[in-house]
Amino acid sequence: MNAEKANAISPVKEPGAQLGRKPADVMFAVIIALALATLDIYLSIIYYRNTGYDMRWLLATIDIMVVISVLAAAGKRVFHMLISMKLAVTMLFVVAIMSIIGTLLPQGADVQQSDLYNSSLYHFYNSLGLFDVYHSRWFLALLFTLIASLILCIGNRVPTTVKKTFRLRVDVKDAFVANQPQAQAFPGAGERGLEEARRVFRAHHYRLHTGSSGSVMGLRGRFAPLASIAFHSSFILIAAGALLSSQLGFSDDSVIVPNGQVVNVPNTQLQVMNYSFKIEYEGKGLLKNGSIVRVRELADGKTVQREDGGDMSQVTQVYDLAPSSFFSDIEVYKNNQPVKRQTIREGDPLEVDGATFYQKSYTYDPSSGQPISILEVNHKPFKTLIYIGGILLMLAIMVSLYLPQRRIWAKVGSDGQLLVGGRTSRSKLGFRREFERMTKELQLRLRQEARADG
Amino acid sequence: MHLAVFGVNHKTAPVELREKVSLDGDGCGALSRRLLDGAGVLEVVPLSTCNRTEVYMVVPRPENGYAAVLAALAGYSGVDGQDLEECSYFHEGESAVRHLYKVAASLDSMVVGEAQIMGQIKAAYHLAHKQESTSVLLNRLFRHALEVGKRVRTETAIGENPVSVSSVAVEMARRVFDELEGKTVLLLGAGKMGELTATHLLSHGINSIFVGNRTYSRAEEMAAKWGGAAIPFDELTDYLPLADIVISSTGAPHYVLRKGEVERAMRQRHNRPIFFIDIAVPRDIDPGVNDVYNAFLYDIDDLREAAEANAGARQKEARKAEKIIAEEVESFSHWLGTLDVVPTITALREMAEEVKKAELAKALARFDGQLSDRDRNRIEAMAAAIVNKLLHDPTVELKKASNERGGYLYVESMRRLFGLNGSNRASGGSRPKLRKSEKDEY
Amino acid sequence: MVKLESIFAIVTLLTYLVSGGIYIWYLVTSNRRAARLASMLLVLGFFCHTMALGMRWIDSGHPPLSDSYESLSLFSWGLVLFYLISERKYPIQAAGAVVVPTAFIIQSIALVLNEGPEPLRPILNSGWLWIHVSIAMLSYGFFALAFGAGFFYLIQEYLLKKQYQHALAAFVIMFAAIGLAVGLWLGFIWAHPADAVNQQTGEHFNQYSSGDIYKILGLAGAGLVIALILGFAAGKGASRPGFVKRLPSLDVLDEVSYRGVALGFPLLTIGIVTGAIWADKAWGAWWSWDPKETWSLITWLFYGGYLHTRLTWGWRGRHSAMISIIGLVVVLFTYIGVNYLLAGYHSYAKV
Repeated sequence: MNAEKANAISPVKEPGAQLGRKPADVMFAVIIALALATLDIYLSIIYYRNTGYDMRWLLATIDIMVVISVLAAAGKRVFHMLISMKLAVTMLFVVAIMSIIGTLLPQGADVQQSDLYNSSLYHFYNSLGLFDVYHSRWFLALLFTLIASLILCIGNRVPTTVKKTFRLRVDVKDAFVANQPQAQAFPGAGERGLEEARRVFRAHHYRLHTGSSGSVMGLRGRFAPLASIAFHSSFILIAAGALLSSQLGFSDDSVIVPNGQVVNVPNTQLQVMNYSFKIEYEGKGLLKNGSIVRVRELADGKTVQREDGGDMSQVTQVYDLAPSSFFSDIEVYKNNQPVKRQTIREGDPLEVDGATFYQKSYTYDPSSGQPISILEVNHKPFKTLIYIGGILLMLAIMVSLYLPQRRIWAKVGSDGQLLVGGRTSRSKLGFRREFERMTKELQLRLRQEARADG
Repeated sequence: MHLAVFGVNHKTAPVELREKVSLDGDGCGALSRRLLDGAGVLEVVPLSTCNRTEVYMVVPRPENGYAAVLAALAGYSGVDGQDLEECSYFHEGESAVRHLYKVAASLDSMVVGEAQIMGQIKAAYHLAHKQESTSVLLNRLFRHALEVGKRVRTETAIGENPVSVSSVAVEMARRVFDELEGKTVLLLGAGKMGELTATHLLSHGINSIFVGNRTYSRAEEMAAKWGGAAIPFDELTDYLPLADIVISSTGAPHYVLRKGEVERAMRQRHNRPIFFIDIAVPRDIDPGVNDVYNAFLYDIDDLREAAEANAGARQKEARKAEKIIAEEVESFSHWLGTLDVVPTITALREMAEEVKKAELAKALARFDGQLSDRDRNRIEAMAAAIVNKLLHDPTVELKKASNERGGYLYVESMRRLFGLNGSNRASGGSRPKLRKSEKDEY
Repeated sequence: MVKLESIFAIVTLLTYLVSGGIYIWYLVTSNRRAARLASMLLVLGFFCHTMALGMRWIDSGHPPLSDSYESLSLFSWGLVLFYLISERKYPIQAAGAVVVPTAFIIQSIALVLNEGPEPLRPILNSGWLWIHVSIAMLSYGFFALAFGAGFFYLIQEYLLKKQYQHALAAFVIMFAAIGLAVGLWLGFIWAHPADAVNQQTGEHFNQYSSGDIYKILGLAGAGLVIALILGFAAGKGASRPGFVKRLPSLDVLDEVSYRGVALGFPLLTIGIVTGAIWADKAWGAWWSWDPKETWSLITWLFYGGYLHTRLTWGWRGRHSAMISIIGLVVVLFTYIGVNYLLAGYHSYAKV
């Protein structure tokens, strides 16, 4: 321990008082808030009267702006709030909790089959959008707030992070090294000590950078902070992809196509005809000798086979049959002209004219009890953006959390002692252990050298 | 040839006397020389710590040894022989072995379970070894004693729970911070207890220390002693966020640190824990501080209580240790027994007698009863004479050697050369076990 | 083949039982040899467990993740694996007294639910899915580790704050709460309600028989009793001065908990993204807000929150420990609860 180090630490003072605000600013904020609120109400009335165009995204955005301007009018420092990560973190938890609602209440068409449909609460819940939580205006508003605060936080962090990543702090002062969270001094080690320190750092897989003043910086996980930015940015990509796809493309997840009928695909000039819908079953078969084999009932509804290819006559009983896959033999028409015919199944869709037809699930005809195919038809022009975002998401989070940044410096101080210090943003205990190992190694090397000299 | 120990310790002698008989390195050497050269003592290891001065010896007859060591120690220290005799204890044979083992296991220490005694025994033994005042018996005894000490330490929790207030404080701090290396201490006030605790913390790798005191010059003085920094007492709240451990022992009649101040400091240090040690009476730190997130407050009563509870636990562990020691003493005594001259000679004779009988029987059988009784007696007499002649000199030599330094070497060699341990090889395990590395030293 | 598998499974169960018992014994008596013996037994059990799962894989032709038995068994396998690794890295033998009995209980429930290898729908037997499921499971394992460390953090912190008084009560209450929760959870799984169909609407719903209720209550009660015994043993041990030494320091527990989350979070991210990609390939919708998806998103947001609160709000210690504990509740709901309590696309998958 050295006295200079202790002296170098200065006391921590309370931050300064809040900045004052001018009355004119408040007036301005009030006017904006009122204007936005009026616009919000006006557009909402239009939207709920005429359900032709999906304006929820727009409405949700204006909702947020209303809230923000009200906050500004009330004298909050909105910009600081938005760029502080506190808002983003709060929104993270708020979105998580609000998401739960949608899993507890029936969503979409399901509600018509539930008891709630006939209850007195139905209209109240429905007006709150509780039967379509994830597409409701308020949920979108929450998501937007999260994304907006995310964008601002990233924007706020990008310059410093880029600067720190590409303009390394190699030349440092003695006090800087000595004041690192992990620091140690080696009296009298001098330049040779610095050489040994380089060796030790390198042995621990640090990349070395030498400054003009002779100080050495070891760096590991250089791009972790940048990866963290990339990780957060990929949400913006995904959100943008989803927003653009939903606005410029279309999607219908319950196109019901009974056998032998032609059905119009909403939002397109396409029609789809289902020649037949078949289900393949799998189950168990009891053999004469008492053992059990797996069996499969083919889509024709008659043939039963053993999975192991054995003799079917040995099977005395077939049970536990469950649907294993289902197929629709469909043909797609454009303006009543046939375009393409294909048997689709889960994971094997049909693509026509930008639209993709997926086998989604099936339901039963209430009158005949026959199974009816349900298809998903969509067109997502910005799918690639979402994919890129998703892949970036995975790569960036791995770099950010698995290759955390560690920085160490070594420098010969003015009095000939070798100063070593370092820091990390994550896993401080792990770093401390590594640092202790490194300093011990360094000590050992210095002692060996001293012995070799003597 | 007997093992014996003569000594005084903190239980038998006042500190003034212990101070006088205490021996440094040269003193040990001189005492050993005197005993070895003049008094017929065969092996000596003096052990001198601040709580005890003991002399372990191997002597031909215990009475002579007792008189010799009493005289030597009295002469060396200038203490009156009678005074020394009154304050001393003397053990021989098995009870001497037990005594050393208890010392090594620190059951005989002022603070039961303290860790230094092992190092002190080791040092004393190495010194004696270097001065060539030890031989087979004490070599083995001391090495075994160190093993016993280690065994007690690993198999019981005797050394695990600190029993002094300052070490309890360190222990508690380590339950928060794991390692104290790199941590910062803020010491408030100049109380003796606070100083002691701070010193204890510093020995555990504390990185930096701030000292605050009403009298700034006193703070500077203390800070200089530890290479820390003095801080103005009025600005102590500004330094609070930097401190991981706060020790307070001022004489202030009111609280020096209040909850609100600690809350603010906690915010500024992003909730990194602070450990408060309040040793002052009346208390310096508002008890409400303990409710602050990640702040842990221990006052003198808490620490004292923990120390007492630990002392109780050590007593329990001491009983376990006694059992281990009893086992080990037995195992050593068994080995010692094999080194006695008389049984060795008996064993040698028995072996020779057996060989003689077997060979005679074989030889006589070959004659197929053609021998007369006379011839037969003659042959038997010759065999007996050969055996006796062969064994005569070794027996005499062995008896003589048993009263010499290092005589056990003869006994051991004899046993090995004639395979006297062979018939009871299974009991070889009862010898005091030594680790491989130590065996290699032989 | 099947027979050998069940022999291995039963040996696994027995060694976990004995090893767990010895760990508890260690907790109370601090006999180091006991800890070593328990650890050795655990390694043996782990080997048998690995063999059993491997044989199951060979037998069924797909990774052991497709039904309740397989995924529960794999979960306890992962739990033991993580524990064995961390036991070698950190001095946390005391945690064995909780982890190993938990692994034992999960494994025994898994065996009760075992119905032999099941066929799998072809759509579910795809490479993307196996990556998706196994990575998600791995992340759950890390979150369980974070939970364990967080749990012990709360105990150690409580003891430090209270100057090591009321240790017995603290342990009994903490353990009882956990035991009750685990018992209830496992009870719901074991009860395995009949899948009834509403004749009018064709809607599927869960129907609990009275036998199921007994199973749930019985397991909850058993969980409570076992936990009370454990808590009492641990509390008794904790009243001895030496005990807390075996509990790692707050710094270490906090760090282990953080590392659990920091290791699990990227895996969960990958699990969710691969799941979305797979869903897009199969059904054309990368995100359809089905309960399982939503709950894994909730889990993900939750742990994202954990990581951020540490950085931005300086939440470390108790708050973080609590989040990691609630986090595992969310994980378990996502992992098992959703399948039984909420309907959705994932419901047929039983995982």
